[in-house]
Amino acid sequence: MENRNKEQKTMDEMNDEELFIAYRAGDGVALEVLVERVRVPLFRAIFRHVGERTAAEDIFQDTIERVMRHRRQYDPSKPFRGWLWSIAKNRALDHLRTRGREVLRDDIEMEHAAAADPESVAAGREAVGRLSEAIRALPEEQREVFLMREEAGMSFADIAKATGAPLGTVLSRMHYALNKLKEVIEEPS
Amino acid sequence: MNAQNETRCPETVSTLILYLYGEADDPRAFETHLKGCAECRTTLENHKRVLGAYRAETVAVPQAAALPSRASLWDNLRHFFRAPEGRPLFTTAAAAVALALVAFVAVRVYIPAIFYPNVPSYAQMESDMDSIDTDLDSLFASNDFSDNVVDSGLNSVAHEGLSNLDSDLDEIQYDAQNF
Repeated sequence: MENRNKEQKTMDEMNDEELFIAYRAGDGVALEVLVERVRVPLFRAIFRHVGERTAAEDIFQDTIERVMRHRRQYDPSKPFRGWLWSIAKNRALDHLRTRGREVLRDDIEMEHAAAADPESVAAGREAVGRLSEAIRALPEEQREVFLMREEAGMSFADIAKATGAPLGTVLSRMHYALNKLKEVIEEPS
Repeated sequence: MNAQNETRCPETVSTLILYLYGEADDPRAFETHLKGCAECRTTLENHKRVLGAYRAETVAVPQAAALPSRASLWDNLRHFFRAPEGRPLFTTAAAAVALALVAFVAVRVYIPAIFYPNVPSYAQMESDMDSIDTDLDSLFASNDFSDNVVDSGLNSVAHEGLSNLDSDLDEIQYDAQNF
């Protein structure tokens, strides 16, 4: 157990990329440490992206499984969180596309249900903050930069590497995202 | 820094955002600029206000947001190995693991091998299977069922060995489609 603690301390000092490389070389504990490190920011980013808790949990699990399965595709010269986020984002977008089609159908059903029982229909929708809603309304490129910086905790330089956009473009996207969110918090409730 | 300046002077926008997040190369230079630029001060305060409001919207993170079920399965097995009765349970669990591997190999490895025997990635899979064999052999042959040994053995088989096979199978399918 003492050895395990020593090993754990060493891993705590390793950055995400080093941990993932250690996992890829066969160290399962490195993956546990890494997932523990990224689970909160990753879940929050996914949840902010899709706005549904159950869907966010499914996407989270799917993302980690894909990271494990496709670990050989990771390029260690790029930030691990950027790769992680790109997988999560694609899954989230898939979900939103599917959800978009379902919403059209649900809206018709909800209109019928609301006419019969308006309170139960309202209770079925999870309440989320106005800013969370506004983030989902941002253009995809701005939302991506905002969530990578705010939730995944990536530096702007790393976001530029991960997205392939110039640093100045990344910073402009963040600036415009913040300007749009400002309009939301200034709107009367 | 009004809307016009934002388009004419993107450098200032960049510096302002970097400064906001503590990533500016020369924060003092920007602070000097701020003293003489009311519009930049306003923009900075607005951005801070937005971030404050955003960060106040808390998101509870469920326990389910963790390593997926495969790891849980192996954790359970690990606890099973550690039961006080030790040996008899270990034998039963080892038999279960062996049976699961035989089924896995039969269904997911050799059946694809019949259909795709010549794809390049098949050799990689054989090599990964040898690694699993070696890991299991050393685990069973060590006659040492202490926590560290079992942890290390199972981690190696569960995380590395089976994950490698999964990945190999993906590659085989990909190769088979493009062969």
